[in-house]
Amino acid sequence: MQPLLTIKNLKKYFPIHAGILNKTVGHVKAVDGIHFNVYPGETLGIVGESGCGKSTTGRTILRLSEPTEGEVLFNGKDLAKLSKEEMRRMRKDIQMIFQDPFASLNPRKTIKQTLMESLVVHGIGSKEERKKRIEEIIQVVGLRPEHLDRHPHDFSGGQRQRISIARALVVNPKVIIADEPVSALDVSIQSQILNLMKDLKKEFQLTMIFISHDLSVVKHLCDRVAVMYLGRVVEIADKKSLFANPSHPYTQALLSAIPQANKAQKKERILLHGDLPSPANPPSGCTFHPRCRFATELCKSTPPELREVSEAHMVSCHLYEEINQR
Amino acid sequence: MSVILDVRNLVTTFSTDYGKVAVVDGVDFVIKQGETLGVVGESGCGKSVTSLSIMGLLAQNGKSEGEIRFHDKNLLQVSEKEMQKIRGNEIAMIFQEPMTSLNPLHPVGKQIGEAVLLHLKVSKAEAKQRAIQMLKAVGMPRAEEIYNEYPHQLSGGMRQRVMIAMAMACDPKLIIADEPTTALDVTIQAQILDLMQDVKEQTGTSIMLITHDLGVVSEMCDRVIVMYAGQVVEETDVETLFSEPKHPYTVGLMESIPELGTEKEYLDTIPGAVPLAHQMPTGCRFAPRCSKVMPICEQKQPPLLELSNQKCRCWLYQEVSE
Repeated sequence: MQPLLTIKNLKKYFPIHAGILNKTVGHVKAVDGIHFNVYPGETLGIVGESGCGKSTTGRTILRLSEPTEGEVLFNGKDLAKLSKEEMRRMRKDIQMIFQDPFASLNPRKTIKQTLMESLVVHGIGSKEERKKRIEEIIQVVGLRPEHLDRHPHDFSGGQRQRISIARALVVNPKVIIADEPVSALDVSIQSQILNLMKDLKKEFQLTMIFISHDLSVVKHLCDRVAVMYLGRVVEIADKKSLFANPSHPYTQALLSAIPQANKAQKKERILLHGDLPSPANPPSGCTFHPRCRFATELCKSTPPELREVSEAHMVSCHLYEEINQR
Repeated sequence: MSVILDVRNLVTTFSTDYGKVAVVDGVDFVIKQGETLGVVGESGCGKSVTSLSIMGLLAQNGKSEGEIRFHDKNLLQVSEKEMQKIRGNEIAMIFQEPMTSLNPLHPVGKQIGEAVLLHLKVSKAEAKQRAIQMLKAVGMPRAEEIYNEYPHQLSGGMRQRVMIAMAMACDPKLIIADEPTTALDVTIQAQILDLMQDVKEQTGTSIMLITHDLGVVSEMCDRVIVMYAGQVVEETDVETLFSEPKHPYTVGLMESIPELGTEKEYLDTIPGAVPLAHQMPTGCRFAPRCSKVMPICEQKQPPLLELSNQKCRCWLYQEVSE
């Protein structure tokens, strides 16, 4: 299958300024050379802890922040090289859902105005058609047409996230990038939104990049998962393969760290020591080596490449064979 | 095991534009020596307000009634001066967001020492020693240097360690931890939970752990109360909670969480949202969202029924208890 979206060696460095002259003294390497494909109809999960660059990846694909280097191929076009105007038109096909439904909706606009704006900006339909489309989409996300004349403050967090989803869907995009769409919600509301997203995925054959820190949520919704650590993808695999055989020591630790409500499924916990190193000054070699239980001299000096270890399962670790044969 | 905190019929009301609103409405529970009590519920269920009522830290427009017995005192009746002696000394609190609860203008060591200086009869030098000792106890590397560092120089996990060190500094009998790991990443959360477990084993302190994460409850707690809309709806030991949850809300909550070990096409959901504090339904507060609702549920509020292994506020179990 041809990938719908191909990310090649994408980098995003944020400069650090200091001194009176505001000289650039270094860079925060938020995203540091990542590669992956997204295939039509699939949901790719990107997981990692705060500061690993998962949100920056999403924003850089959409050019909400400009990539420093690399290519984002969508339908054969490199999004990174498009002009601002071309990119704006391209956003009809790639839409984003943000984390905080309280901050991402304009409080002064009614829901109708918010949804209408997307259609007008992209010049979709006549006035009548737009109105029909909005009424249709609001029901798709589980709200009612009479909600259209209200303002965001009339809605609860879960309802607002439904509106955000409607706003992304209303222009019929090919790809949706969802950045932590359920993290701000309570568990009973979270499950409502997750079910809705699963429905929409089926109904519209959506291709989605789902960014989250919550592995259980990612497992529930995604088909493939990429695990990021300090700006790099350390493991990317089919969901089944990743959760059955987590192969990178970081993925293993991450999975074991999740508190499980079900005691029967409790595993030995791998406790990682220390904190995430600063992305402004990442460790040499494999960036995970200072916290890795298996680290060797090789890990300290040479960064590992992402390589295929079994079908559709890629890991970036020198010690894959040794660790996983124990 | 002796009871160290006994909360009886706690009602906390706030005066608002909608009139007097009871955010906590008739809550009873006890915490025993050396146990960890989990308080579970979603936003707005009153779990944080319960803890603030115990600490006497309510906002100006808030008022608590009922009884909060700590040792032989009713904390709702002691003077502010006396409360200051208890707060931070015998009952300490760990807040969710360490960045906003530490003072950004003072070095962290001094903030730990401040509590020691205030409550124990020690010299400044001794207070400093104690602060450094506490920083070491919570697993901070280079404790002497960190003593002089400011909160912004530390990571989220380290700040939360400082908060725990501060809470532990006066050897409190009870620690109230309000979502202590919610703002942290999972691998850091694992470190902090591990630390809290160690602290508890070493000192025998009781912990009241407020959280919305059932995974954390399962790992940390001995007993659990589940709160919904300002009331306790279920109370039981942690094994029973997970093996035989009784209240439809508890069951719904558990079913709606995606779990790593299980595969489900769709999650079960609880429809609707938590009612607002000034618009509480007259009958059972969970009735509008409940899948097992009966006519009586909408008319009369169920009492907290005593069942064999647990307490449960639900009409479904009325016959069982009689």
